[in-house]
Amino acid sequence: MVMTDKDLNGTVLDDFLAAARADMPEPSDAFLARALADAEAVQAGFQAAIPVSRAAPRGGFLSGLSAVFGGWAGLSGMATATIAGLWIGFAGADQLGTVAASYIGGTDTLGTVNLLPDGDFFALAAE
Amino acid sequence: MAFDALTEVSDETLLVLYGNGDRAAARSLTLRLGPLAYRVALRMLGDRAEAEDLAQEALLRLWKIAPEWRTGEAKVSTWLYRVVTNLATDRLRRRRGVGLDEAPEVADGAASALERMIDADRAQALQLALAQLPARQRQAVVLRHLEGLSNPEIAAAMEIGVEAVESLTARGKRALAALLEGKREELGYGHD
Repeated sequence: MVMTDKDLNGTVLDDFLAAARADMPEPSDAFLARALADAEAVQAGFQAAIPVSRAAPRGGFLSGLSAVFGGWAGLSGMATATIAGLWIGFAGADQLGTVAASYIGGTDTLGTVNLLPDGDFFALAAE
Repeated sequence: MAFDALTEVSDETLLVLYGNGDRAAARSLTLRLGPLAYRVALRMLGDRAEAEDLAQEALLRLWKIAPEWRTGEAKVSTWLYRVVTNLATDRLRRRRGVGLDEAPEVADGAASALERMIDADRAQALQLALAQLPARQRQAVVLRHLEGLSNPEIAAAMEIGVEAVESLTARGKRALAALLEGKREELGYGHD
């Protein structure tokens, strides 16, 4: 085949190229749906990785301990109990009676406290 | 498919948004780049099913590299043109079973293939003629004359120099003109 300058510089070939440009092939909806599904699946992988890479910095020993015992409120309660235990220990077991008396009053124990020492319950009920 | 609500946003910005988990960006990029990838793949391969398969593969590569995308270095479309045309070239190489450098300027039997096409219009005739070009020439002609890229953009997409692009497109056009010359009359052109 013999080509002429006219063919190369315009006219026929350019017409064919223009026709091809105008005949824009479009993909099917099924293809776009598959491509979008791929995009979303890959993106879901990114999002799953984000919490690992952006996790809050880990706290120290006290933070971990606090979390185990229910936060700082729980930890402060434990501290109070610990100090109370130490105090009891230093005060000595022989003085526990004194301590109990200071709370209960007198020498009565819980087992001997009589809420109605001279009364008759049934008599009172009958009045 | 719904209207692309992010039409004013650049491809690059959309890709960054996509990498950050923006679902709307995933949809916009698909609607914007899917047709481009498919169109170029079809121009290169000439088969719709194969073009969709290749375009999907190219887009999947784009999705995967999104978090590592370096802004300001290359246009997303240029990157996609490169991936699509390279994948297509690989398929053409396997299909033909010869190296691109050994491919004939105009494949044997091209004229007879065109002769069999009686009722085809000019666009179809051009597509058939494109299929007869060596892959690199086809790649350059598609990007320059059908996609409208500039020579520097094609050079970036094909990873070659601008002069090499000019040479490929010139040889490609010459071969196309030779292939189509014999079809002038039946495609609406009379004798001069």
